This record gives sequence, C-alpha cells and structure tokens, in this order.
Amino acid sequence: MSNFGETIHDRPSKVDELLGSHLMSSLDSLDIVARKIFSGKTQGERKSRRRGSSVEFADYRQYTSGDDLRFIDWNVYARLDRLFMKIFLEEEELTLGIAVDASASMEFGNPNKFDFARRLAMALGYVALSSHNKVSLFGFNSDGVQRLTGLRGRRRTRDMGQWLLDLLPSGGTSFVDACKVISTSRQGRGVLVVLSDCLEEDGITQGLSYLVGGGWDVFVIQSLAPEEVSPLDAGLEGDLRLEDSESGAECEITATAPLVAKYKQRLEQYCESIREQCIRIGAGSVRVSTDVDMEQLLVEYLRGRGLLR
Amino acid sequence: MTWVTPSAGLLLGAIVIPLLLLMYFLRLRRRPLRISSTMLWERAVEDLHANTPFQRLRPSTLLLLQLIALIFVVLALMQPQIEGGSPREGTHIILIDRSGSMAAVDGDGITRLAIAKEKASDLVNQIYGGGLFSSTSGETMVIAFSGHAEVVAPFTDSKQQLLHAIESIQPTHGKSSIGEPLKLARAYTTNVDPEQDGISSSEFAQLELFSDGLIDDIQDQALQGGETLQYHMIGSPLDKNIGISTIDAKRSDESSDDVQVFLSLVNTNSQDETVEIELQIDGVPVGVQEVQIPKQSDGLAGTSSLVFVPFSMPQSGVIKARLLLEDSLAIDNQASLIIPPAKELKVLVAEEGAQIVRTVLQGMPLADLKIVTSSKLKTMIESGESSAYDIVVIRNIHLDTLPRGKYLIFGEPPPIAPFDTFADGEAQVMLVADENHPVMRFVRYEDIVVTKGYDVVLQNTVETLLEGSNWPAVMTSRVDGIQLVYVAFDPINSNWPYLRSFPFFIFNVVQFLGHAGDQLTASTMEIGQTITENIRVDGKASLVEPDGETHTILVDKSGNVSWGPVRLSGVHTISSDKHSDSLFAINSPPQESLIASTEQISIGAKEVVTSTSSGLSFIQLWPWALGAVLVVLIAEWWVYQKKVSTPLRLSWTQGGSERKGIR
Repeated sequence: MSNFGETIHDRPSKVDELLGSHLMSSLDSLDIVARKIFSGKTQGERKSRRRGSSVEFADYRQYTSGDDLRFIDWNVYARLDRLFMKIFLEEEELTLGIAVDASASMEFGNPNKFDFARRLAMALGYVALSSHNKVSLFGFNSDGVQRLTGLRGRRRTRDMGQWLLDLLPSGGTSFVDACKVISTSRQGRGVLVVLSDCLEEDGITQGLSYLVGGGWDVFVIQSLAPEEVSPLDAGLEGDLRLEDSESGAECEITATAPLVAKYKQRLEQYCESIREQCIRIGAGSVRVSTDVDMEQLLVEYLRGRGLLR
Repeated sequence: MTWVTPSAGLLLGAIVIPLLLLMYFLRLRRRPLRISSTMLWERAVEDLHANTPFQRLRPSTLLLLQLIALIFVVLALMQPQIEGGSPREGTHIILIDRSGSMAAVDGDGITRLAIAKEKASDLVNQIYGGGLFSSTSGETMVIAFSGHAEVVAPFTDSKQQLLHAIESIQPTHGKSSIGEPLKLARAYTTNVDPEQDGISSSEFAQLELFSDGLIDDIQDQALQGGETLQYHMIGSPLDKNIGISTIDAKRSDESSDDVQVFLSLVNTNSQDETVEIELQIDGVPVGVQEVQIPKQSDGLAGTSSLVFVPFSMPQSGVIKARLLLEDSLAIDNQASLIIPPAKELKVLVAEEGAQIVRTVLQGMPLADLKIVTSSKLKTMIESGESSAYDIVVIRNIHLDTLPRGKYLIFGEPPPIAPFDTFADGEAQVMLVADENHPVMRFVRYEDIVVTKGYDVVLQNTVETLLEGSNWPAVMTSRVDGIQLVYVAFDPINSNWPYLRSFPFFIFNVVQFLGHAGDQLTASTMEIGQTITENIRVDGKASLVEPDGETHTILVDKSGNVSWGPVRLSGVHTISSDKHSDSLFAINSPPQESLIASTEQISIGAKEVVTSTSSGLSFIQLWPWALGAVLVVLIAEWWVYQKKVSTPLRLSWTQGGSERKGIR
C-alpha cells in the first residue's frame, strides 16, 4: 500500500494539542455571528424575536392587568394619561452547533482532514463558550450521530476537547441521515457549522435542506487535503488501483498529467456545485485546504465571511 | 507474389499477435492506494469500468498501430517476393559474353553487355535470393569471355561477391569464342584424386550462358557428360547493323608519297543502304565518299568495297575511316590504320668504272647496300638472288635479261622491249623536266651537260622525266613487273656527278622505287593479344586506350614494353618522356559486325534454345515491410506522446483575490 495521503504528522492526543494557548488568546476577542435572530430559553447576549426584558426597545403596547409594572412607560402616561407597556427585545443565548464529519474519508491527508476538523471545531467551540453561548457538538458517520450538547461556559472547553479527542473516524458518511437526526434533535436553534469534506456521491443538498428547515443557520466548511487538491504535486504517480476508504470501491488509474487535469476539472465542478447548493438554500460555505493556517482562517477569513466577529 | 518463409511468419504472428491482444485484454498490474474517495477519479478515468480479469476491448489508436506494426513484422518475416521461379540449386557457372557484338545497344541505349550483366545479377539473386531461412544453394562461378576467358569470380556462395564481380566486367571489342571459357570452367569443376591413380571426377555444373549467340567456335565445342547449358539470349534476332569490316592501305605505284585506302563494308539490314564515309589523317578529315551497300540476302550480309582517291601522305600517321551514321553497334563504324614511316631499303649496286653511284648510295640511310661486280650481278640475276633487294642500281653494264624488280639503270639501255631501239646520242644540254614527278623533285637539271649517250626511241610505256636538247635523258617505265628509271647516259660522260642535283636525283629514285606500291596493311594484331614494343629507353611508359583510359607500363632492361590483352578496337598509344609515341591500330573483328542474335545455338550435336525464364528475378519486399514497421512505430510513438505528455497543470489557487487554500 502506498503512503500517498497517509498521515505522517503527530496526531493530537491532548486537548491542548487541539487548541494551543496562542490560538486561544487570539480567539478571545471573537464571537459567533448569527445571520438570523433566534429565540433562546435563557437570557443571553443575543437579540431574540421574543420581546422581553432587555436594554433594546422594541415597541409599546397597552397595559393589561397582570403586566409587570416595571415596564410601564411613565413618561407616556404623563403625556397621554394612558398606560403603555414598553416592550424590549429579549436577549437570548446562541446555540453553536458543530457537526464534524467522522467518516473514514476524513482520515486522510497531510495535514489530516479529521484532525483539521477537530481543531477547527475546538476553536469555534471555544469562541462560542467564551461568548457565553451554548455549544452542541455532533459527530456523524454511517454508524449514526454522536453528540455532546448543552455546553455552556468556558469551563466546558476541556469537556468539549476531550469529546473531540474521543471521536474516531470510521465507516461511511450518511450525510442525509445525519442531517435529519441533527435537524430534529432540537438542541436549540442557532448556528450550525458543518465540518466535512463533502465527498458524497449523492451530494449534500438534501441534508443541508433538512438542517436549514430545522432552523439552523448553516455554515459549511469543506476541508480537503492537499493530496486531493494537487495529487501530482503531492507525489501521485504510477499505475494505481485506488481504493475508496468508505465504500471500498476500486478505481484503476495511470497517474498521468491529462488524467490529473481531468480529475482537477471534476473536483472544481463538484466544489462549485456544493457552493451553488449552499447559496440556493441560504447556507454559507467555504472550501479550505487542511494546510491552511488555523489562526488565519479563523481571525481573518471566517470573520470576513461573517461567521465570526 | 510468393512467400519465402511463410511458416516462420505465420508462427510468429500466431504467437505475438494474440499476446499483444492479451496484453490489452489483461488489466495492468497496479499498485494499491487507499484514498478518501474514488468518486471524482471514477468520473475522470477512462479505463475504470472493468471488474473482470479481461476488460472490454475498446477502440484504441495505439492498439491499432501496434497491430499494424506487428503485421508488417510478420509479413517481413514471411519474406514476400514478386516475380520469381523456384530457387535453383547446385553448382552454376555463369558465362558472360563480352565480345564486340555485345557492345550493340538496344532501343533504350543500353548495351547488350549491360543487359547480360543485369540478367546475370538477377540470376544470382534468384539463386541466392531465398532469404535468411532458405536452404543454402551451391557455389557459383563467373567467367567473362570474348576471344579469351577470364574468371572474374571463382566458385563462391557469396552473393555480394558474385554481384560485384558481374558488375566489374568490362566490355571488349574482340571476337567471341567459347572454347576457352569451357576449358576454364571444366578446370575448376574437375577434381583429381591422387589416391586413386589420378582419376579425376567432375562436379556437374549448370552452365548459364549470357550471350547473343554469335560465338565463332560454338559448333566446335560439345557439352560433356553431366553438363547442362542454359542459354540466355541477349539482344534480338532482328537487330541490324552497318559496319566497316576491313581496312587496308598501300602507297601508290605511281608515287610513293601517295596512299590509297581500301575499305570493305557490311550491311545486315533488309534494304540497300547508302552511307557516307569520312577519311581522316591524324584526326583531320581529308575526304568523304558515299557508297551503297546492298541489303542482306539469303542470310548473308551485303558487302561493298570502297577505294579512296590517293592522297599525299609522305610521312607516317594515323588513318581513320568513319561511317557517318549511328546504328546499333558503334565499334565497327570506324576503323583505323597506322601508316608506318618508309621502310629502310636494301640496295644492290653494280657499276663499271669510277665509283660514282655507290659513293652517293653510301651516304644514304639504307638497310643494306650490296656492291658487286658486273659478273657477280649477272650471277645473282640468274640465280634470282637479286630479287631480295628492293632496288638494283646498274651503271654501264650490259645485261641480257632483266628479271622482275626495280631498277635504276645508267648508260647501257635495259634489255627490255621499250628500250630495245636506240642509237648513239650526241652531246646535249637539258631542256625540260617533269618537275612534278617525285624523281625530279629538287633536281636542277639546267646545268647538266652530256657529251654522249643513248638516243632511245620512245614507246608508249615509257615516260620521259628529263628531256635533253637531242634525246630523252631520263625515263621511267613499268612493264611486266619491272619498274625502272633509266638514265640514258653514263654520268661519267657528263658534268652531273659534280653537280648538287646528282645525289638529289639518286635519293629521289631510291625513294620512289623503294616505296612505290608498299602495302600499308594494319598490323595483324587482334583484340585479346598483347601489344609489345621496343622503345629503347628505360623507366616507365604509359599506354592510352582508345576510350582514354591510361595504364602505366614498365620498361624492361632491353627497352621492351608490353601490355595486354587488348580489349578495345581503335588506336592505342604507348608514350614515354624519352621516346616518341608508338601507335597501334586494332580493329574489331569483321564477324562482330553481324549482330543479329540467335535464338538457338548448337554446341556440338546439342541444340540449345534460349531460356524463356531468363528474365525472371525475385524482388524482395521484406525491406519495404520493415520500413513500414519503422514508420508505424514512429506514428505510434507520436500518438503515445500526444496522449500522455500534455503539459496541463491546474493550480488549486486561482484568482488573485482568494487566499491560498481557501475558497
């Protein structure tokens, strides 16, 4: 078996290796941005559609018996001699869902795609916890969806990291099934970041539709290994029998420049179709190579894309 | 088209072509590689759809080209050839006629010898053209012959040696004789076994004769037991020719300075021919004459003779007669003759009294000067010894008889009819002379005074050369084989011996009588013989053939040179730095002018008809098949390069606004 695409760097075994202190300090100033306004069960730092006690005025309404007298606008009463209640936008907490593709296809590349996804999930989760948001983690493959929900507060960072370390890639993707499960879990609405290579035979449109329909503000981060992006540069050569890590299907190729060119053409077309699908259903998307600098990705690029602020 | 080794080609094809197809059917042994997903590769790769040990054979340019190349290899191995008979085996002796008649050209301007060489080469190719996998043929020898035979290639099975030897055969203009080549061939095929008391054994050989059949001695020969003769006729029985068969020349009887040329012409055409003949002396045309030659009849060529008007040629030189026409055979359209310088004479002299005449003769370049008394002269005349001398000079001697010969007679009239009537002549002076006659050339006669002489009554057969005031003083006559110059007075009775004109006169008479009627026939040298000459100098000399080819020849201690055998007709020149050129004119044999090829030859009692398969030869096609293989392989390489080497690389990072690795 060739070592093309085989992970040769050290794998993270500790939480600290998923999220270094230097990156952590860079992330302290960031926060998750929801493009939609959601309602939460607990008062948080986000505006909610439900009006309530907050600092941001929304509207007035006539007083009825039983209303909290603290919210009567006495100035209006003085002018109009009628009782009006001040209505404020209630600030609710935001739920950040992070769905990590834990299929076997993620266990590939240098840097490893799954490790990249775990480190990115850790970083995003840390940002969310630091901003007093709720974090829910999902790991999905053909065996089902593993989850860790209801994380609140920075102190749960280590729990989150340990959960990610314990998550092992195996089996197929079953993206649609996983999205269906996640969308119906109702762990709290908010932003759902999907971390996957999105290499699905049937595409990801249907699965994303489930998620969006379930109320999630979906943001897809498609991560691909350098070996998948530029096979010749990564050392692909010779007459090969390629084996699919998930399905076990085989494909025989001779690594020639025209063939690789055609492969790249197909990859471009596929990635472009994913981007178009995301746009069509109102989801955000970004495609990254796993050799990209994590801090640069978070601080510069995801902030620019509106996922962070 | 035939195939030399079809089985070898078919065997190779049966093995290799299925192997090639199998290689395309079989899947390539590939290195396994686990990747995240084969989804995109499957869409990109063309040859991914087979799951069985054999994949479906899809149209492939490379496969097609490789199959074509393989088929050409198979064809080459089968050694295709066109136009050929069955391979000949055994020992062969190729006899190629290179005589003068083989210099005749056909309509395309190709000589018969060239055609014979080409056909002989074809035969060699036929014998040894079986290719790499054919059985080995026997050995072959090549003999070229005309009047003489030459082994140009001894027995060998080397095709290249045989072809080179055949190509090297040079034409000759000699006659054709097959006796010597047959002797040579038999000498090479006869083995003497000393252990069996010298009993010889002959290896039977197939004689392959390439000739026009015009061979002089063919009927005198016979095939020995086991010998077979294959006759390949060259040329056509309908070929016609006009030529000069013989040339001859002699000095005029009237004047030794004048030369007469005689020609004999031959015509093998079916109609009378009128031709013009040009005569040259030392390359300068001196005359053209027209002659009609009768047509060939009853199988005999028409002949005609021609005599040119005598022309002055006192010195030596080269006479060349040339037919002003172009026909099949050029070598007999001209003939040459070397006119030698006047020969040195033998003179017998007898005189009474003062030694006047002998003194003059002793000062002349003569081969022999015999001085005898009058009685001795009479004895020699009676015994016939005098006829050994070119000229007999007689002064004041009375003779009873005068045999045939040439005489200069002073005084006493000769005892022959024209001079039998005479009287005593009175003193006189000379009045008139025939100054155009060679005898009187440069002779000043005006000062001659004669005191007495003989007054001969002139007859018709006598020509007066010098007329005196009273009687003719000098006369000449030719009667009954006697040619003489008669001076009708004894010089002692005149003042002539004291005059300068006297030795001039003696000289003129000796030259006139000595060379008149000289036969100037060309040397009897024939083509095939050796030229020998004594040039009386040491060192090196060179011989120039009529075609301009120059050979350096060595001179031995005695100054002799020799070169041969002569192969061409025409003038051969031997020259050296210290010696004047020696010329030899050799003409083609007259029988070579008859160029109509014979379809049937008789060798002994056996009649041989020209072979009908003489033109067959194999043209090997396998080199073309190999060439096609190369072309197809080049095309296959080009297609392969085009297919696999397109330098197309797509960068993952495209667009300046996007960061590396992120889209």
